[in-house]
Amino acid sequence: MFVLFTSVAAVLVAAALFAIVFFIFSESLRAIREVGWGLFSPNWYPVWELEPEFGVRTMLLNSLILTVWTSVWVWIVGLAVALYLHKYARDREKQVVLRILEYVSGVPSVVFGLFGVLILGDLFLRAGAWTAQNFLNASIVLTILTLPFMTSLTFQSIEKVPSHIVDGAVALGAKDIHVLLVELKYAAPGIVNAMLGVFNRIFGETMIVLMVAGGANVLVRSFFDPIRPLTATLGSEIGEVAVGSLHYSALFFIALLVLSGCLILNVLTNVICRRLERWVKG
Amino acid sequence: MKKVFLLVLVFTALVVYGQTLVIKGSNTVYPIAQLWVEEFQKMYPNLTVTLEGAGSTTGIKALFNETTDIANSSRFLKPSEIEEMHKAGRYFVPILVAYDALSVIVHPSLPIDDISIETLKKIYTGEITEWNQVDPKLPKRTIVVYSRNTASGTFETWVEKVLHGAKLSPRVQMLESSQAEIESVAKNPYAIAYTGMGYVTDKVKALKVNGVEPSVQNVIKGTYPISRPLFVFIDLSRFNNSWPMEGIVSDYLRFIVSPKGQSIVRQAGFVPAYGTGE
Repeated sequence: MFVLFTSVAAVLVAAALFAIVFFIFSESLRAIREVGWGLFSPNWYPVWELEPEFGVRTMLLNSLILTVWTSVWVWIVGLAVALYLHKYARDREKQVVLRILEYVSGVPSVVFGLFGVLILGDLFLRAGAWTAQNFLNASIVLTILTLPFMTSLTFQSIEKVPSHIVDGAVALGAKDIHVLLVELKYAAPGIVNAMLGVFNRIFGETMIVLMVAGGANVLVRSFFDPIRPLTATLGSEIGEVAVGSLHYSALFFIALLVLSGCLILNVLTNVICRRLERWVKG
Repeated sequence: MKKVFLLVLVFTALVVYGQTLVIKGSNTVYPIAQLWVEEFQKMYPNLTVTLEGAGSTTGIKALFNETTDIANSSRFLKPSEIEEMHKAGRYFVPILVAYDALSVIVHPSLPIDDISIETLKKIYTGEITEWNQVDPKLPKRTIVVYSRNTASGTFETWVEKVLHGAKLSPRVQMLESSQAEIESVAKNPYAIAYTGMGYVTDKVKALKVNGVEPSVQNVIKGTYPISRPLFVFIDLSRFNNSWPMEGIVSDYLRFIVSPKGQSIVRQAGFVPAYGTGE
């Protein structure tokens, strides 16, 4: 009975995922057919009656730049914090920090967005930025959003390294730094999993970029430039677009891009993690 | 069991005896219509209302197809629609219900009071990017240009009345709500934005446009340039080509032009076409 129930559930979930991909693809077909390579031109003017333009290039590039830049920071800081917690922090310290991270990761992204708009935005203006909503603002808020995720996952995978590995390294006369490297190597699959998870989360995040990224469709040239990533456009326009129009279809093309980006990344994560596991276990 | 039976009975009675009112059309009028319907249903608890806001054209099409009782529209009938209407022997009549009037807002500290439509167009298309290009007396600072997102009716009015169909500069920052615009302009001394007249607060300064102050009187007089009338259309041929004096459509129309209905217009951030009794 239980087997039947679970297998039905599994099939349903798989079918739903497939249906979503199929639905998004079929809705975006019209734009792909009618606009073609124009979909990768830089300008996005969806509602102009004369010569509408449906180019996603600027948005796509901005999305990628924002995601890569933010991810790198989250990776570095998250790894550093996790190493500190594992290696140097006292038990009490560990507990407090982990508890705080847990709470922060439970905060909805819209709250962080509000923080970016009301507090960070103000600080930016005071510091002389020309606009309150900009690339750096979005990047900082996204860092706050994903840092707890990165830190706690990394910390857990380092903690999970069996003690005989560490003991073995010490027995062979390894210095502290080398013991750490051994631990890191053993924890690598978990850490890489966390890193790609962070990348995925930032790439797909909508609410925060909608609120604090600035909403201007220019390619980012400085930290204080307002930008408009793919997800922001999708989130902003899908609610009011006339169903079945070319604009609607072009928005679904954006959805298709975001979705395929995330799916590819997920598959990649799986492959890389499996490889790493094999490498770690020798 | 008895209770269930009773519930079913009440439900059937509602379905059979309850009236329905279908409203379709403009996305701009939608927020007003939402408030109207909410208030109207308090007076007619048995009434079922379907409200859609897919666009003015959709609403007028629905009038032709007789799939709606009332069509909201942010524009008058197009010549092609009038021709089609005559051919079909139909008679759509407009009821003016409100004005959509936009204020141009800047930070209160910026020494500017008046701006022309041409300058606005240049600012929003990116031809002018610094304040001293607007007026040499103004500081040489980048103009931070805000706009509502393309989904809003406010944006449509702006493109029609100010840009005359030209494309916005990509540097213009799209914001999700009128509140966000007011907040952003209130904090940034070099920002400019436009918003529905009803949303303007003390935190920002509303500019004169072509020398005309953005006031309700000037909108009604027709001298304020960035405004347009909003209509509700009904099909008189469904009432034997005479004005409906009873029935739910007639009651609804009476309500929306009443002082109560018009104060709802103001509440939604638009300019009432008639007195609000205030």
